[in-house]
Order: sequence, then structure tokens, then C-alpha cells
Amino acid sequence: MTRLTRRTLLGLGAATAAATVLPGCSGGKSPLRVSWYGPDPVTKALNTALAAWKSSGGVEYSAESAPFDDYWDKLATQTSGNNAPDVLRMSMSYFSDYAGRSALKDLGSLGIDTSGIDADVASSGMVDGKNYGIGQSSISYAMYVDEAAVKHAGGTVPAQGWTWDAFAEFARDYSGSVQGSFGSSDQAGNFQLFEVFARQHGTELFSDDGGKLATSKDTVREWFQYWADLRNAKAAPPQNVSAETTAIEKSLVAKGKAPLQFGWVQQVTFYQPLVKSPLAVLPVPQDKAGDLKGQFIKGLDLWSISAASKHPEDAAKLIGFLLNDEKAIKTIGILLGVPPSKKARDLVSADAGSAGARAIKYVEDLAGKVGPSPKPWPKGYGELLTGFGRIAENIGFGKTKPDAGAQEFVDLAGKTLGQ
Amino acid sequence: MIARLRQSLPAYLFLLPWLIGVLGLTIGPMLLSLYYSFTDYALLNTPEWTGLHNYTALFQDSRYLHSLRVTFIYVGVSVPLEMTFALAVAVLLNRGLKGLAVYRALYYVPSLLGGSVAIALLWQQIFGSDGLLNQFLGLFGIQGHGWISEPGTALWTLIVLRVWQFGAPMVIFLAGLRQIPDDVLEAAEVDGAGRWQRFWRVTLPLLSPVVFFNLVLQIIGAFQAFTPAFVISGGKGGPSDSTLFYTLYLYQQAFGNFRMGYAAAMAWVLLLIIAVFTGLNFVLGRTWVFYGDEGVRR
Repeated sequence: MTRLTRRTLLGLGAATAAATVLPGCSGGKSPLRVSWYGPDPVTKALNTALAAWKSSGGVEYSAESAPFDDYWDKLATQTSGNNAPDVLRMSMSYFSDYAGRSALKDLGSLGIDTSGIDADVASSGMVDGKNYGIGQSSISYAMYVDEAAVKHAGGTVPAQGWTWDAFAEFARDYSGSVQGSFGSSDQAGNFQLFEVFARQHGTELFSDDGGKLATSKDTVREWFQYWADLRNAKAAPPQNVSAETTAIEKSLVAKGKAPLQFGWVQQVTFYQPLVKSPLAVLPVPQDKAGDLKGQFIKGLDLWSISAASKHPEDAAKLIGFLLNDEKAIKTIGILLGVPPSKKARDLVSADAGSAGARAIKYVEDLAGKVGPSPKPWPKGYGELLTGFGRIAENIGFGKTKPDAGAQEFVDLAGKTLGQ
Repeated sequence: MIARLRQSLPAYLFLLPWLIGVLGLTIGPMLLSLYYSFTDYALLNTPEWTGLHNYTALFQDSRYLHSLRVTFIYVGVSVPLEMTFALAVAVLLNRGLKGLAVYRALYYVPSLLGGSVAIALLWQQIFGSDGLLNQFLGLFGIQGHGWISEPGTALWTLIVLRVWQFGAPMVIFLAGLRQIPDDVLEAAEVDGAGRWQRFWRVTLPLLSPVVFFNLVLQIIGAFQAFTPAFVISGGKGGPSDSTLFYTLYLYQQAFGNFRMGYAAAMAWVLLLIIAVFTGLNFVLGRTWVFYGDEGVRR
């Protein structure tokens, strides 16, 4: 037994103090910090890809991840505290908030190899000639349909999807013929699907400079009314049912209570494991049958480097690795969206029967038929996204009418945009 | 002067960790937030002075006013219920129950857990449309509904959650009840006072300082409630803003919508509201709190 003397205690104290201080100000480099949002499969895949980066000679890294909503709270705090991660996943929903406030680095001079990447995706993050982010994927909005369920109910699924009118009719018929089911989940609060609807009505959602709403109040009202009618016809679920479908595993399609679901194309791979029969990937309903001009293909998730990053070169190398390395491409698959290069798409769609392969085929078929990509979503988009959902919910609960709700949204946009 | 400094220096040295904490982590950020409340500060840019704009904008913001209303309902309903419940259980436990320590611990546990994320998630499971409560009601053939997904009942599930955490005030009540001398109660009994009379006229007045203490703390705590609403509504305050607590709206503005200045103003108004309520409590308290020394002074 050693007896503790004052001297040993002092030594111990000094050692502890040194140990706690050293990592903070050591001469060596701090690890490269990488941060992203997404559900569990995304996190697993990216961790594997990062391990591959390390073993192929990449620098030391540390990874952080969070679900979408929490991610932004955290990133805002980190950024304002000058402590943002070096490499980060940026969503178009918040891109302008960050790029417009100089929180992201211009990637132009960092030499990231984008030669194989689709041109529109590689330049998704261009603002005034500066590139604040490289698209991770090209994605489009889609509808995933459980064809077996539809056939079982005696319906058919048109290869190009439905028109809005035909969709409403289908939804009513389906609800009528399958007890306890709904033809569709309620998409009234889906701002991203509404963007397609708005484009089908002849205007972009936002003005080119992002300072105003370009779509009209009438279009918003028509949208809210469309879903209100479906709810009234019991073709879409009542609001209190929808209010509980907050997660993928709680969605109606996963619970077998609806034959279809809307979302970004890659999300079909999150739903597929929860549905027994294969989900077909189809275009969303159209104004005129077969006219897909309302939809668009765009890189909506980007790899960016924070302005505060102390090792931008390593960060750039990592981004290049994630975009171009074969192992990384295979691991990530289509979890971040349809891969943005031909090489990657071929590697990933090798497994022909998978939901991923169907998603890739969907985007490839869509190319050339969709309308032009909209500009990056404007500053304040995140607030409109949640605001639109909230107003739709108020209408669903009967607290306000479609017309008043549309006005409320237009007012909100007037207050939020152009600040 | 120097001699005095030398004398008190060790004291300050010992206090240093605490002083650094208070100045760096409490007073500093508070002053900074006061400054931010007069600015337009989007978290990522430098704050711009806008004077009282945030404060005037607050009262034209219908969601802000709505969040005030939700919070007042929550405080106004949950605190009296929780207090009554705590007192009732404390009185029951005080009647010389066997295994008192066990019960006391059992009832106290929810207070320790109640603010946690885990319990909020559990609450979601209990009050969801295929949750425990509806299954229980189903046994009696009663058709339940989604308590949390219905704007009419969502706030009530949060109120129930708060009342369920009655343990902390209960333990304090119990300690207070133990302090009431038996001879006073016996004297009242001898004088012919019934059980109710003894409670209303002897126990409660003697307990009033403890009631007062609990009331002040619970009101402050209820105004600041955040976690349950955040977790149960997924951070949105829904359905249909029915659980949009003041603190939740503040959080949304600060971190969701990049309006740190606005949120700072909200925080200071909340501080003011709590200060007014606490002050009011102290003023009103003079009329009903009995410290047992009044007789001596008169």
C-alpha cells in the first residue's frame, strides 16, 4: 500500500490538469469533424464510408449525426459559437440561410473532383459565382405505391401516375372498398409536394430573387381545398390520425392502412423494409395526364465546408472521396439520394430488384420530361416549411378554413421572405 | 487596504471556481441576452441594434399571444391540482402508516423522472391512439381517441404529467406536517374540534409557510416547463399549436427560425412575468401565511 502524501497528491493534481488541458491546445491537429442528418441507415452507411476513408490513408476524423430537425438546432448553435464541423451535410431548406450569412466556404479553389458528376448537381450550391456546396445526389419528388394492395382492391396503377382528379377518384374508391383504409395519406401540409402543384399551375413557388412568393393565394387555397375534400370524403384520414403518423414506421403505408406514400425518391428505401410487397416508384399526380413539367430534378442535399474550418484541404479531400470512391459509393447506395454520377449509378443499380434500383430508374426516366430546376430555396424556407404544415393542420382540425389558411400562409411568406 | 486584501485573498481563491461559474455562465450570458433582446440577431450574423422593436413585435404576434394563453392555462390548472394532490397524499401518509419510508420514496420517484425525455416518450405510448389508456378503456367497451393527437386533449395529457410529479411538494408537505406539534392538535380535540375543523383551523394555518414555499416554486417551475411539450409534440407544440408552451415557442424562434434577438426578448418578458407572479405571491402571502410569531409581536 502506498500512502498518499501531499507531494503525490500535488503530482496527481498537476497530471490531471495537464491531461485535461492538453487535448485542447496540443500541437497536433484536431480531427476533421464530419456532421450529417438522416435516419439510422444513413448514419450506419456514412460511418462505414468514413472508416474506408481512414483506411485508405485519410486523416483522423470524428463523426456527428442527428435526425433532420435536431440537426439544424445543433448546427445553428455550433455555427454561431464558431464551432461548426468541418464537413457538413447541408440541405437546400437551410442552404440560403447559411450561404447568405457567410457561414460556408467557397469550394471553388479547393480542387474537388466533380468531373464525373452531373453538371446541375455539381452546381446546385452556386450563388453569385461561388460554390458553397456540392450536390450529393439528384433527387425528385415521387410517389411510392404498393401495387399489390391496389390490385387486391381491384384497382390499377397507371404507369405515369394519376392526374389530380383521377387520383382523388382512386383514393375515394380505394377507401370505399378496403375497410379501415384510406386511399392516400393526407398531404395537405406537405410543402414540398405543394411546390410541384404550384409549378403545375404555371409559376414557380418563389420569385427568382427569393424575396417573394410567386405562386398565388388562389393556388394555395385550391391545394388546401383539394385535401379538405379528400378528408371529407374519407379518402384521406382525419387530422387526428395524420397527427400520429410522425415517423416512417408510423406511416399509414407501413401500417398497411394506405397503399401509397409521397416523398423524395430515395426515401422509398426507408419505407420498403416496412412494406411486404415491392413499392413502385411513380411520378406525383399531374394537372394534365403525362405532363411532368411540375416536377424537377435537383441536388437538394449538399456537402459543404464551414467557413470556420481550419483544415479545408482535408475536408475537400473527404468530400471528393465520398463522391468518387467506389467503396464509398457502394456503401452509401441511394441513402442520400440517387447518386450524381453515371459511374455511381451503374455501381449501385447492379442489384436490379432493389428499391434503390427502382429509384434510380425513376430518376433516369424522368430526366428530360421534368421542368427546369428552381433556384435554391430562399432564406426563411425552413420557417415556411413548418408554417405550411401548421396551417394545414389547423384546417384539418377545423380551426380555420382553406381560404383563411391560404391568406395566413401568404402573410407568413410576406413576413418571412426577403429579410 | 493591501493587508485586508491579503487577508481575504484565500477566501476569494476558494470562491474562484464558483465566481467564474456565476460570472461566466450565468451573469455574463444574461447580460448578453439582454443586449440581444434589443437587436436583430440571426445567430450567424453580427447583431444589429433595433431598439424596442422585438418587444413591440411580440404583442402583434398572434402565435406569441397564443403561447402565452397555453402557458397560463397550463400553470393555472396544473399547479393547484398538483398542490392539492400533494397535500392530500402527504396528509394520508402522515397518519402513521406502516412502511412510510417506502411509500414516500415510491411517490417521490416520479418527481425525479418526470422532467426526463424517457417519461415524455412513455407518455406518448400511454396516451397514443393505440396506447395503454385506450386499451384499458377498451376493456370497458369505451372507444378512446388519440389523446395526444387531438388538440382538445393534448394539453391535458401534459397537465396530468405534471400532476403525476406531485412527489417533490408532497415530501416537503410531509416534513411540514411532521413539524406541527401534537399538543396543539390534541388541545383542539379536547376543545371539541372535529377532524375537518382541526385540519382547516389548525393544521393548514400552521402549514401555510410550507404551502407558500411550494406554491412559489411550483408556479415558477410550471412557467418554465419545456421538455415534456418538446418531446411529446416532436418540438412543434402541436397538434394545431395546442401545446405551444412559451418556452417552446421561444426555442423555435431562436433555433428554428434564426431569431435570437426576438427569443431573447421573449426570455426577458418571461422573467418579468415570473417576477410579477412571485411578487404577487409574496404580497398576497401576507394575508394568509402564518409564521407563528405574529402573536408574539402583538
